[in-house]
Amino acid sequence: MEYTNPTKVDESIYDDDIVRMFFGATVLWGVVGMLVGVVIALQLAWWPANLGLPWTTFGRLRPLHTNAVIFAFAGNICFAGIYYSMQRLLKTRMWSDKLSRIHFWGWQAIIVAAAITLPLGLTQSKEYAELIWPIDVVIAVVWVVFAVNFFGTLATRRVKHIYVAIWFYISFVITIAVLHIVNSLAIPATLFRSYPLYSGMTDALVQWWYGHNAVGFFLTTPFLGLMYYFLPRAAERPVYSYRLSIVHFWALVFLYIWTGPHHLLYSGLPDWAQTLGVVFSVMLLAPSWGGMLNGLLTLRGAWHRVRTDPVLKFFVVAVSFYGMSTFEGPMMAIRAVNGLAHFTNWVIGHVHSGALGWVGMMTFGTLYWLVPKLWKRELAYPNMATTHFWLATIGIVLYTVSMWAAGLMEGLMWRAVDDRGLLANPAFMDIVDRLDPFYGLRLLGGLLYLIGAVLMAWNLIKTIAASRAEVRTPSAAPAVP
Amino acid sequence: MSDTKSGSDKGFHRRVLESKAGLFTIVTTLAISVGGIVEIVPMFTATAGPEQPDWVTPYTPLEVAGRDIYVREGCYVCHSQWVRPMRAELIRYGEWSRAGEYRYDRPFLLGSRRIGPDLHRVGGKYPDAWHYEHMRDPRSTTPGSVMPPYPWLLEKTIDEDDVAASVRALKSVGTPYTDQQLANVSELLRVQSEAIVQRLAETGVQTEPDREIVALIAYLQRLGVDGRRAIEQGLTSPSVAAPIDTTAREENQ
Amino acid sequence: MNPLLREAAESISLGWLAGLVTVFFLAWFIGWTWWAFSPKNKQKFEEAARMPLSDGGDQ
Repeated sequence: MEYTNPTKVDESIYDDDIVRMFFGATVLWGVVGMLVGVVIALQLAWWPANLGLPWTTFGRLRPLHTNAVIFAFAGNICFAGIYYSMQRLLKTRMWSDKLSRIHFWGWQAIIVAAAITLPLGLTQSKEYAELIWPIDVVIAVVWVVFAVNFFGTLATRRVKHIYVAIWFYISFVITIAVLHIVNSLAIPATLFRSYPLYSGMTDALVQWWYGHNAVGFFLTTPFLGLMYYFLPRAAERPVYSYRLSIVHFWALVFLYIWTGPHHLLYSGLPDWAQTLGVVFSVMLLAPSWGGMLNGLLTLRGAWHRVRTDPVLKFFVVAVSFYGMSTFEGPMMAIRAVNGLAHFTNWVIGHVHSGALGWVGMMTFGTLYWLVPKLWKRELAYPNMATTHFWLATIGIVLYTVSMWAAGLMEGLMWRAVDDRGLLANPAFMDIVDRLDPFYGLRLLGGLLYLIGAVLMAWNLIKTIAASRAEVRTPSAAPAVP
Repeated sequence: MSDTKSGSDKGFHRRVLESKAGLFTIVTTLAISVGGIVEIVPMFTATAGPEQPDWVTPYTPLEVAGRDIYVREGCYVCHSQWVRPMRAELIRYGEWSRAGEYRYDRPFLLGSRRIGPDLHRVGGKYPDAWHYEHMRDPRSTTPGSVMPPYPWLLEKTIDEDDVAASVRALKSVGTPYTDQQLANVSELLRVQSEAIVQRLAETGVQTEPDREIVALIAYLQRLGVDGRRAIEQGLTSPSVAAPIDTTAREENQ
Repeated sequence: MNPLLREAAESISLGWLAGLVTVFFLAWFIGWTWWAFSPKNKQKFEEAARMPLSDGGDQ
């Protein structure tokens, strides 16, 4: 292989149109996914919000919410970030523009199919793998298209060294393919229904091996890749320790895959498997915090800029929440803690400190950083971005604190036994009744977060519109400021 | 730039692994495969995997239809089917869930959240009419419930061919239905659903055998029944949790 | 359980495989860490860390 290792590259060789497409999809689906989240939060606080229609009940909309925010919102920003950073780190255009577009339109078609089938009650019931088998087949095909384009680009790169962000992307591309295929193996009964190859506890284990690593390899490793590219760019300084990133990469990808069984503690899953899940979950704290420290320490000497730059604000809070939820996760995997927390709102709080805090804030920061680069135009309302930051941060705090409190209360009330050996709260409803204020606070938190995202969408649209109005006449020269 | 083609580095990692994206990818694939293989493959073996007891029998065609409705409506989103071996759970719900009880569960429906109570021992806990009323209007049986009503289950009908297709698929994936059962899906549906309609009629609820609610009731009344019977007959391992005062359980139910 | 899957699983002897893989990845990890922290590579990594900052005209 010949590496020319160019030091300076004409920006026009890169395909930024595909980045703009995924950028737009991220904003659109992000708002939609969060809106569904607010609706189902309202349904728990006030059941008539189920609207009395089959298509709008909580049981059908909750999977729509999780799929939309994970695969549509987070998925599209991963692809936008990967297409942007990969071309620049490898100093080459994506291998095939055609495959890039098949990937984009295929992925959006999958999202639309999900948005239609899930409310219709067409589901496989496995969390984050609900989509019915024909859609699963399309996902596999589109993923292969993405992988071919991805590795084709790696093979035609013009620099020798592969920067660490791309290592994380590689683990994303490989692992999601393996997880999706193994967990989705099923025999179709009809066009819309199938039954998995595995049964009972084995099916449960395969599902949670998939489910937890969807968190690990869809919501963690690609976002760490984004962090290793966009945080240094935004801070204008190299990552704190490249060595640390090398070490924590291998530890993270090796350890993460074992942790699934912590979703099945105190179940019929064989003890040996439960124990493996706990041990590896606790060990995972080390590489997770390696990534967090590397991110935060990259800002050494740039902290004064955090005060004025909204992009850095979002990144700092994102990395902090990453550190917090990766501390909480191993804690909750310890049997005694899990016994209390499992099945409660505490888990919902934990998930959202990762989802709203880490994934969401990383995404917002990346979008705000990208928009002037992609459309050659400064953000229309910089102050609105700061407002968005505060709305989102306050929203996350309200959300997570209310759910932690609610979860702790549920866990304690469910298990309370009086001195006669009887349940202190024999009626399940007594406990449900007391959740109302917490559900209300959570709804408020989610609403603030959604309002922030809507402000962002408005801000980005105005920025892009202004840029379009300005550049009606195409310029021949490559856009170098 | 990070390095040049004429660089003097002859290190193994740099020369072979990093510059060769393919090898890097292969080792990454190995690294992410180990945990899954070590945990999942033994689950299929008799020695390390979950027990495969013969005291549990496959769901009847009507129960399969009910289970499909349970999945369609996303009941598992709010209800677990997993009683943990903990004192309070044994008092509240009954015997803890044995691995073997899930033998024919495809997909598994253990759930991950209890917005409502666990359902693994709900079979036989309430009369059929209670479930009927509960689906029609949850607050008629459980004041204050946050569950949405499911009145369409009382109207919509199940399709025999659809159920037959499900049973065939389940057999092809490993559930041991006999050829005779496969040939008589429509008869099996009729007998079981008419019995439920009859019981409902005795408590003043009028419905038809082909209604979805009948299938769902059949499924709910089946939950945890095989396991409870096996435990009572001493066919499975006893409870591992602390001994329970049985009087406490009666008073609470 | 699906009889085909069961048969395949029973035919795999995992003991030696697990041992081998554990030793391999332990060695891999130690070697990789040693490589990452060996002083002669310090310079290269500092250069590699600057890769995102030197990517053409859009800075």
